[in-house]
Amino acid sequence: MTSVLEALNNGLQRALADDSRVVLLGEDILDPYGGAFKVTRGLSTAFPERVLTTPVSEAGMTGLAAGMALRGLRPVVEIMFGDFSTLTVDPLVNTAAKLRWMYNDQVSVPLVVRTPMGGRRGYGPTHSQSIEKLFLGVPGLRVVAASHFGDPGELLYRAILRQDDPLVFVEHKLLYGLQVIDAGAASDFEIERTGSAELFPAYRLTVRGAPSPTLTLAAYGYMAELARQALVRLAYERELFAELIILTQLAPLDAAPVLESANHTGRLLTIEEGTLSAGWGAEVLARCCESLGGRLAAAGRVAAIETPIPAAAGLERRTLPEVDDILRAAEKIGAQLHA
Amino acid sequence: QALIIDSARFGPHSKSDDTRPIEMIEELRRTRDPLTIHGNRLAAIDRETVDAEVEALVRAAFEQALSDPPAGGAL
Repeated sequence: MTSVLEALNNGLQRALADDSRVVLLGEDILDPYGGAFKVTRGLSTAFPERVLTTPVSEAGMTGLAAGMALRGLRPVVEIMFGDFSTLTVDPLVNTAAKLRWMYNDQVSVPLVVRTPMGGRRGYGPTHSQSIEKLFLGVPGLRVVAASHFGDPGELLYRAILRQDDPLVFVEHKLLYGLQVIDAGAASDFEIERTGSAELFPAYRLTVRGAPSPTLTLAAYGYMAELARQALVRLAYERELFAELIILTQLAPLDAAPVLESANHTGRLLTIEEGTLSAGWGAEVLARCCESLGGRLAAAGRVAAIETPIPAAAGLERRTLPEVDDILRAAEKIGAQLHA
Repeated sequence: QALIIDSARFGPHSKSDDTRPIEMIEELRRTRDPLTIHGNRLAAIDRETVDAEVEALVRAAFEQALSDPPAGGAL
């Protein structure tokens, strides 16, 4: 049994071992501390010349790493909290994402920025956000979100060594402690790969033994776990049979796995921890509307309420989407059809 | 021209990533704390007045926060 944290640590360790061009940078990532969330623990001891601690400057370390990537290294930058990724936007968007295009493929910028996002730990408004949506749709920039379905360490390894685009790798903080789920280990649900993405795959979850689904759920990251819980409860408590599509690559968006499912069920509910407006769900829904037209009979989105995330635990719980919110939204979509 | 501010940390950035010897940190606190340095520039009576006002402000904030009910209900 491996935790997501162990899997990510292992993925970094393998990448460092397999390719001497891989370099890690970040704040406080050296041993014995090993990083704020311990993802880099042990790595500075094993690879002392290629694990570098930086000053507290997210813009500086990202720009520096973009230069390293340009010059043939494969840097992996840790941004300690995803909330600070706002400081990385210019080096990522205007340098890393564009140089390959501006130099007509004569250069590449294989830079990975990995960062913990997400709330539910009482860390307050500026340490709890899921703002990966700010990076979606930037030409030249990939965005990948780990979940505990499939091997997140392998996902990270591929981000670093199997592709050459600048890439934002999102790790929800609550995933770290979860066990990685193997296909065969699940008792109440089945999971299989779906779609044609090779590097960063999509998955389909269904309840074991359930009849053909009449609702599509779409989620990523930690919300995939809450969506999975909702999937099981919808089946057992309300006899509403859905299937859950989990994407790992958020941008560029290949919505085909979601489209295929929604074409079959005619009903779609997207689920994310970020705020509603102009979020990931908005883009997925737009693609489904464009492709499926009248075949899509009902659709909705579950997302965070649009206020800064409170530090008080009770208020934080009411701001961020929970399983009950997913159940309510699923029922609402079902009700739309019977009206 | 450049303005270079030669400041020193008294503690870690994250929680336990300060590996400097404890004597060094104590020495820095003694000699490089801006509150101490600037406080010594004030007349004693002014320093005491400021300290008392701040102490009262912080104490009142603590008492208010601890006596208020938890926002949004208990966990």
